[in-house]
Amino acid sequence: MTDFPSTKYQRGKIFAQTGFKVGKNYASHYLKSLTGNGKDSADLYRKTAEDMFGQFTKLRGTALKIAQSFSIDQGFLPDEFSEVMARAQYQVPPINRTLVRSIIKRELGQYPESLFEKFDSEAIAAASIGQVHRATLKDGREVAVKIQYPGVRDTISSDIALAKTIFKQLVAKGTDLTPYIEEVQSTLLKETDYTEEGKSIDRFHERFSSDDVVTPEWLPDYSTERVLTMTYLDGVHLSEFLSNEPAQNEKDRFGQLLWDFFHNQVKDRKEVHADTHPGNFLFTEDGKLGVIDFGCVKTFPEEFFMNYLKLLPTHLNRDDGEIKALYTELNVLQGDPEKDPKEKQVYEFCKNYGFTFAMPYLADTFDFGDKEYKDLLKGYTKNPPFTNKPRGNKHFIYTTRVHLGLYHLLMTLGSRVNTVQSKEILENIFNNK
Amino acid sequence: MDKHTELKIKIAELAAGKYVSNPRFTIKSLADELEISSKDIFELFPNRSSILRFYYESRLIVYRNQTQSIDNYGDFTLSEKLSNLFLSILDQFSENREFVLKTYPSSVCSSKTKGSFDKDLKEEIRTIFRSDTRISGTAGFLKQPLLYSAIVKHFDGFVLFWSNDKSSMNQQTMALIDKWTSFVQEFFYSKIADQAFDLGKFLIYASPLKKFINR
Repeated sequence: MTDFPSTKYQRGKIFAQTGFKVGKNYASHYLKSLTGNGKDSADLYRKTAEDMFGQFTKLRGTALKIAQSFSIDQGFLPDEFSEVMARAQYQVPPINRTLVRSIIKRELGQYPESLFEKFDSEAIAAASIGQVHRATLKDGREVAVKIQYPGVRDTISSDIALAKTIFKQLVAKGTDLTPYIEEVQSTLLKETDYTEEGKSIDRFHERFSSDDVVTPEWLPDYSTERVLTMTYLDGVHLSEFLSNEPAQNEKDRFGQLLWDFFHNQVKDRKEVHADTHPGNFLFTEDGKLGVIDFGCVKTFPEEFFMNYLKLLPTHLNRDDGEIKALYTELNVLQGDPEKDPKEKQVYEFCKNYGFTFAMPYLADTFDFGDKEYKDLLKGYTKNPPFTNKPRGNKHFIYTTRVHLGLYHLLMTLGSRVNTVQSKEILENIFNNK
Repeated sequence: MDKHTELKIKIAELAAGKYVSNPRFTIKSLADELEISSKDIFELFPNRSSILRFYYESRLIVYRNQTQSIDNYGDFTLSEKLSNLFLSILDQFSENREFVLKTYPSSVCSSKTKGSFDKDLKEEIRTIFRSDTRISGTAGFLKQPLLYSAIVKHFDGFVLFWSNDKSSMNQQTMALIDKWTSFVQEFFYSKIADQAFDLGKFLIYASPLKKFINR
């Protein structure tokens, strides 16, 4: 049985409370068994994080991309590190203004002052492997011009090797980062082709541009493999939005838009915007959700994606046999939990974490502002029992990044979301509608 | 830029293009293509080689002209100004790449035929350093002709790197110049020279090493 249990919706609230308690008790028991999260280690983490941050920003593209990934997926790193790393999303050494001119001249044939009506030589945002400038075309259209650091593609391999060395100092001894790093490397290489990103922009614009969601339009006449020009979206990022102390209904509205955007992407199981971090979403003045940066889009294999999605209702059903079968298919369980204590530990962790993760789908609404839920989820993501051995299908890297990234955005926003439509979408998928 | 200089540059750039296919091109062929008379050209240049030399000399004129159109150039850092100089010249070289590959070593690098390009480049580098107020105290003492000559030599190295650069749009050359100018800026803006001077002074005058130095 894979469908969401409709009867469970009706008693969802009670069940959620029970489940929450079970999850919480497990989490507190589990966390006690882990060593050291005291003040000393927090100070050490912060200092290490700050030292590393300096090295990372100098590495620009590659390392920044990894840092961005880690700042969302807080599963790997301590809080202190994630906070410092989160800065990487906005703070990198800018490409020198002269280089920007020269890149545009080489790529588009003219210097920016000739090509554009107006070109702001100060970057408005740091992209992972380049930076974004604001400009006005001769016909008056406002555009964003993304410029790639010269030679990024050629330096990815050496940067990756260096980043790996730096990261080894931060994770538990013996942790094999290779699959993660390799996945980032191959994704990064794809991201260096801005023409491909331009095509993704077109596809997402066609699929999602609506009264609620706004995405940019690609301008191929002003774009090449290393320069990407798109229409400019006006709006504020999450941190600026929150600094204006918005009302709860505003937080709920944008939270709902984010939630729906994710599930609408899942609906046809085509491409998914796989770079769910705060820098890639804008909140517009007229209440729309702006989605930018389509460099990292993923299409997951059907079988994996279905199994991944099935985890949600299966966890809510708390059917041990089904849960074990799914985790075995997804290569998270690598033996029989009844015979192998290590597998048992992994299974218990996954079962409880998975239930906690699926909780927003239990009732018709869910409050991501619930601090207890946030702490509980963080307790799990930060302390998986398998840091010394990679587990699970490699596509988990991006599903986790997207899904957990969404949760982090919603928890930061403190939104209450209605989950009825999203559950219908998932049910339709399971019923092949 | 006045009309006279503009025409001279136009002639030189056309001549550079013609030189690649026929090094013995005629002045008349140039004049015909520009729809002017040979006499007009001879009034500006005594002979064919002076036209080709002017191609290099005029790169700094074009660079200065372009630089005037950059907003806030005065706020540019040392690294940005040096990158602007080198990249602007290399951008121009890219438009006559074959000509530059064939002639740059003989017309600029060779000690016998150093033209005014070399001198003008050195002068421009001097101006950039002299006008920069962010250079730290001790590093300021390094602002000497020898430094500017050394940087001109480095530029020759960039041209050599660029001539062998197989990356798309010569991205590796851009990256090299970016890294090189950033390094130079870091050195001149940081206090490292001040500290090196301080350490040297201490070793000479105040440390037990003094007796060895005085021997």
